[in-house]
This record gives sequence, C-alpha cells and structure tokens, in this order.
Amino acid sequence: MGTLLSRLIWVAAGALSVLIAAELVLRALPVSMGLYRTDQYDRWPLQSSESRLAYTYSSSWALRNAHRGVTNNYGHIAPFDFRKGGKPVIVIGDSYVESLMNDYADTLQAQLADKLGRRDSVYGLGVSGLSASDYLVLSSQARDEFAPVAAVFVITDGDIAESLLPSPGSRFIVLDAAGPRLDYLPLRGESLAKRIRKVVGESSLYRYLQVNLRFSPADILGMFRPASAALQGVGTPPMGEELDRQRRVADFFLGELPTALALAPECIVLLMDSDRHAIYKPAAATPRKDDPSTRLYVIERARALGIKVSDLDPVFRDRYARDRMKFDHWPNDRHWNRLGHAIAATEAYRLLSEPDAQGRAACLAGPGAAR
Amino acid sequence: MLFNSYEFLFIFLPATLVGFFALSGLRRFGLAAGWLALASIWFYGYWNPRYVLLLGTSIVLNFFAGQAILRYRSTGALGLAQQVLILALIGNLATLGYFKYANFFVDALDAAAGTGFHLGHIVLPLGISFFTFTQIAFLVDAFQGKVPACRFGSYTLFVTFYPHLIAGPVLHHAEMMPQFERAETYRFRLDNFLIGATFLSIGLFKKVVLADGIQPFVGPVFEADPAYPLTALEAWGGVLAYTLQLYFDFSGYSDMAVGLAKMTNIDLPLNFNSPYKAINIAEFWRRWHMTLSRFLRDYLYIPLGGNRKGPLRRYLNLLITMLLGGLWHGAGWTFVIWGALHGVFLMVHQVWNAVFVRKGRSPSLVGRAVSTAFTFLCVVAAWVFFRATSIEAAFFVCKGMLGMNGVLWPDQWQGAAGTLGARDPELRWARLEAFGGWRQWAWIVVLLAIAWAAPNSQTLVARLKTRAAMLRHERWAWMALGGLAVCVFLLAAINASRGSSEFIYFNF
Repeated sequence: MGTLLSRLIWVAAGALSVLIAAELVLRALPVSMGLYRTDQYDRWPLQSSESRLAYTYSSSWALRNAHRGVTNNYGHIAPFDFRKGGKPVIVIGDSYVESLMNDYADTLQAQLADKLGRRDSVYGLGVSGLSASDYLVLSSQARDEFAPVAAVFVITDGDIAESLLPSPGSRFIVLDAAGPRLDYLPLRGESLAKRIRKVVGESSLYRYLQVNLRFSPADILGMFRPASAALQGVGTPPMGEELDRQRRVADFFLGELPTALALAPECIVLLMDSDRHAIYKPAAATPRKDDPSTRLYVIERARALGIKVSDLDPVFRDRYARDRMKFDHWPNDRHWNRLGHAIAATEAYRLLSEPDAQGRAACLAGPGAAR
Repeated sequence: MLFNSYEFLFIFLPATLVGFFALSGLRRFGLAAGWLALASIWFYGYWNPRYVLLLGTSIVLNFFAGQAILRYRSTGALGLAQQVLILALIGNLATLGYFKYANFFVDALDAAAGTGFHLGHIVLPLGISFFTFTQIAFLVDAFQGKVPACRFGSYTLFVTFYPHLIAGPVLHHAEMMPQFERAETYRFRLDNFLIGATFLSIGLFKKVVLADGIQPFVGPVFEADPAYPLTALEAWGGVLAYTLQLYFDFSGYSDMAVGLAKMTNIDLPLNFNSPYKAINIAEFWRRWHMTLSRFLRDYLYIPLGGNRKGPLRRYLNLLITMLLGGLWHGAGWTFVIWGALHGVFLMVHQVWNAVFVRKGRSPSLVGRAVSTAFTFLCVVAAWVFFRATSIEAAFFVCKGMLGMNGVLWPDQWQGAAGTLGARDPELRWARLEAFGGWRQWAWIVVLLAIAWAAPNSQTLVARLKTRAAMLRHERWAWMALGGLAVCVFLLAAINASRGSSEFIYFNF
C-alpha cells in the first residue's frame, strides 16, 4: 500500500509540475478572458460587465485574432465613457455588436460615428448571447438612461427563436393565453461555474481550457450518456407550431420597440444579417435557428410598421460578386470583420439619413448625433 | 474510434491496459492476449460493427489457408500448397478489389468503352488495405517456409492488434507473433510503459498541434474555385502546407501506434525516419512509410525480378512497383500518376547514379543540401497529385505553382479590378482566396525547420533512454508519467475543441 501511495504521489507531483509549467507559458500568451457579467442584475444588460475591466480576447486553441482592451463606465467595449442623457444613436445587438474580435475603430458603431462626425455620437450596446427579448429590455433601459435619438439593431440568426428559451438572469418571451409577455428567470445565487471562476479565474490555464477550448468536464462525462433529445433536434427546421411561435415573437418584439425606445418607428433601423458562408460557398450553408420564413416575416412586418430595414443578404451578395471580399473572419469565426461592419454602418447611415416628409434627416438631428 | 479522441484516451485505453495487466498479473497469458484481441475487435467495430464480420472472416480464412499451406509443405505436397496459396491470394485481392477498386475500374471501363454501367457507392472498410497486405505476406511466407506453426489466438492478435489495425504500420508476422508468445510481454514494465507513453505524447502532439495546426491552409488551395486561378504564392503555400500536414499527421499516427504497443511491451517497426532529410528519392523511400516500402520491396519488387535481370528490367520493375504502390493508396488516376511519378524519379535516380556518381565518394555539404532540396521539391510536386481530388484539380494547382496565373496577385487584377486593392494593401492581400497571411508562412517555416533540423521521435526517445536518469530512478519515471498524462489530456482537449479530426491515412 505504501508503495502504491508513494507512486501516486510521484504521479501527482509530475502532473502538477506540468500544470504549473503550462500556467506559466499561458500567462505570457493572449489567453481569452470572457467579460465578467456585472453583479447589478437589475441594470443588466445596460451595465453589461464590470466597469474598467481589462480583458483579452482570442479565439480557438491557437489564440487567433488577439485583442486587448478595457471596458468603459457601463462595462461595454468603447474607448470613451457613455454619458447619461447623451442623446446618442444606439446600436443594440449580441456579440456582433460587442465585437471583441475587432478593433473598436472597425466596429459598426465606430464607423457609423465616423460618418456622423463625432466619436461619441454612437453607443454600442452589444452583449454576447442577447436575443430579441433582451433587446426590448435593453431598449427601455437605454431610453431612460441615454434618451437616444435613433436606434440600430443587428438581427442575427437565433435572435427570435432564442428569446423563447428561459435562461437564468435573462428575460425571455412567454406566449400564453394572456398574450406575449416578458418574463425573467432570476439567477439563483452564484452558479457553481462562477464560484469556481472566482477561485481559479485568474488562472490562464483555466481560462484557456474554459474560454479558448470551451472544455467542459461534461464533454468527457457526456460520452457515457446518449445524446439528449434537445441535442438531437438541433438544426431541424421549425415546423408548424414552432413557426407560428416565432412569428408571434416577431410581432411582439416589433410592436413593442417604438414604445420601449420612445422613438418614432422611422428612427429605428433593423440590419438583418444573413448566412454569409452560404454566399461564399453554398455547401457551407448552415442550418438556421430562425426559420428563413421568419426572417422574411420580420422584414415585412417591420417595414409595415414604419421601421426601416436593411436586408443585408443582397447587399453582401452584390459586394461579394464584385470583388470576392469576405465579411467575416472566415472560416474560423462568423462574426463580421471590418468590411462586414463597414457595410452595416453604411446601410445604417443610409437609412437614418433618409429625409422625412419635411425633407430633413430628423433622426440625426439630436444633440448627441449632430455633426 | 480515433487515437486522439476522448473515447479512446480516457475509456478504451485505460480499460484495455488495466484488463491486460490484471490478467497478466494473474499469469493468465492466454486470457491477456485474448483480452487484447477482443479489445482490438471492439475498437474496430466501434467504427462500423458490420465490418467486424468481414475482418473476422478474413482472419479465419487466412489462418486456415496458412495452416493448410504449412501442412502441405511439410508433407511435400508443394503443388497443393501452391494451389491453396493462389486461391487465398485471389480471395484477398478480390475482397480488396471489390471494396476499394470496383468503382474505379467500372468507371474507367465506362469512360473508355461507354458501357453506361455504374456501381453504387461502396463503403471502404477501415484498414482493409493494411490487414489484407499483412495477411498476404503471411501466406506467401508460409508457402516459402518462413512461418513456424502458430496458434489462432496469436494470429488473430497479430492481425487485429489495435495500434496498427487501421493505418499500419504494415506488420510482418515474423517480428510480431513471437512477441505475443513470449512471457516477458505479459508483465508490467515501467520503462516500456514510459517509453510508450512518450511516443504516444509525441505522436499526439504531432497530430493535434502540428498537422491539424497547418491543415486549415490546405483546403483553400486544393478545393479552390476553378474560376479564380491560384497565384504562385497561394499554390505553393497550400502545397507546402499539405506536404507538412501529411508528414506530421501520418508520422504522428505511427508514433502513437508504436507508443501504444510499447505500453504493452510490444515493439512495432518504425514507420518514419525524417523522410524530408533524404538526399535522394531512394533514400526518401527508405525513410517514408518504411513498412510499406519494405512490403513492396519484399513482396512485389523482388518477386518481379528486382535488380537481378539487368538495368532495363530493374527500371521497369521500379515503375511497376511504384504504380501499384500508388494504386494501393486509393482507387484513382491521381494516385496512379503519383505512383508513376515516383517510379520515374527512382528510375532517373538509378540512371544518374550509374552515369555520374563515383562509388565510395560522398557528396559535399553543398551537394547534400542541393540534393536534399531537389529531392524535397520532387516529393512536394508529386504530393499535388496525391492530394488533389482529380487530375484537372492537380493541374490547376500545378499551373498556380508555375506562376502561370501571377506570382503574388492574379494577372487578371492588372485591369480595372486591380485598382481596388491598390488603395489599400491590406485589402489586396485579403482578396487572395487561398492565402492565409503571415500566419500560414510562419507555420510553414516552423514545421519545415522541425522536419529538416529537429531530431525525430525515435531519436528523442533514444536520448531519453540513454541519457535521462529517469529510467534508473523509479520515482522519476512515475513523475514523468504523471506529467505525460497531463500533456495527453491537454492535447485531447485541444483536439476536441475543433471537433473530430481523422488521420489522413484512415482513407487508405
């Protein structure tokens, strides 16, 4: 027994030595650190992560596309602080708007601000994982905090379908007899993952495993379990009832937006993203979470309500046919690159600049957005 | 099940080793060998249980054919032994031919004669080329009297032994079966286990980090849209990337196989010996896929007459051997051309040696460097056909390599379209379809440096054996094992982060 114990101790010592060596090596490298979500639950996602938080972004095992930065006073990615009552144009979205994988100057909000002539005239309010239900909450929070003059939404695949999924700490849309409404699933104390992260979160090796490699012990344990029904269903197109649910979500979202923002519909712009990989290579098309008909439905309904919409699919297609430049970090990352953001910014600016009945671009007339 | 998967590393391997050493510890050697064979068959069946029947039938029929040959030989009935051998060879080649080449020949016939006949898609059973060749060698050697009597259990384990079953090395019964029958195999030896774990870790590193790291730069060139011709920069970048990917992928697999076998005290033959350091094409084949080269030499080139029937016949034998070697890799004209190219390279090398090289005189340092570079370029050029999915695709890449579409940027950009990039050099680079930027060329330079200048796996392990004090102090060996276990875990996690990544030679 003594020999066995002694051997185990030596094995553990060897393992520990390599772990320490790996930690030291990774500390010198740009290992990704996901943004810590703020503890101010009632203010999230307006206050997205902790303020003045230094972060590092890199993707995949090879630490591609490394970026470093510091969050602003609202925990968002911007090189300036947001000002209460600043009357900016706000850009709302998920990780596409958060845009950790791009330099700030390359983002939609920065390029739109360039066109408007003032760096702080556009606030990017993007948080990874948000969906349409969160956008509604974020819209009303932004209305109260910043009094925006216009709003631009980046609508990506899954924004509609995912807003039906209850997720702790997020709003989701309930469709019941009383009609669509927002509900909230509170966070129950600190999750185990967060508690672990507090203990070992400073470890580069831990962050490399968790963020860059997306390793989870469940991956190994999962080998002993059959694939869950939920997983088996991924990628199957929504049929019948599900399609109807998605349309009801879209109706609710679009109907609530002007009120949530306290803006006229013509000062709201939806930028509808598309499956760009299918444009480059039809074989690279991926199954959609939001049914393609839902996407078209959103476009039609929004336009009917007076909301301005840019369907980016034909825009991307035309541009790709012209010079075959790609709009994202193909093939590793679907998020837009500088060109993708530039096209989105051009479209947003074009729509916001369209003159109203009086022949002026009323949406851009506010103090924050004025030239 | 892949050697680099969680299932293999964290379930199959530990369970197999624990069972093997537990039974060995009880001195149940037969059961321990049976456990390894069962585990190997399960390993094979995990991919597709239907083909276990094919593997099992092949083993049973070949074993009894071998026994019959041995029996007839021992009674002097050589004619009968020969008939059994021919029958068994036909059976093996017909099975291989059906699964691997039927579509190829039927399609070729249709193309030539317009038969209009096509077969449906035939799934290639994993490892069929390897276990067929292994058993053909056994039968031929049995006929030549080189095989002693053997037990069915040892034979089954020799054919199915999981480290080599799917993608080699191509084993020879004479070097394997005695190992399965000796008592020393069936006890835990820390030194062998550590050497095996080291080989396994090196192989896993080669596969997960080096081969899969450079792999993303290959597809954009070999799967490029023919409407957008490749420049020399793009084509060379992709072809060099493939040259390195293939080497590190296959040699990584072979290292893992050697390591896995060594953990159970079995020595597998080495399959690679820094092939890109070769100074001529003949040496390249003595360093690349060494067990296949050995098989082709012993069971094809020499029976054809080898170099015993004059230079012309030797050249022809070389060409035939390499053509069939190419066809062994896959049923396609690209593999035939690849084999033919190597056959021609070998013929040219023979002629060059006969005409220009004086015996006993070794080349200068510069001469060696030039020879190594030239050999490498020939090998790289041939890999284009090995990787391309069609002859047209191969020539498309070759045209790019020759700069026929432009060196850095496509010639077609010289017109109006070229002005777009001129304003923004970054855009100009980004517009290249198959150019992976500085990162791609950094990968190429680093991996070339490793292939040319770094010691290979066996040299590294030999140094560990001879120089390190670890093997003499048991506690250091256990410590090293702990460290290697963490390395394997980290590499497996990296591998899993990218989804499933097969070994290239699984296709052959």
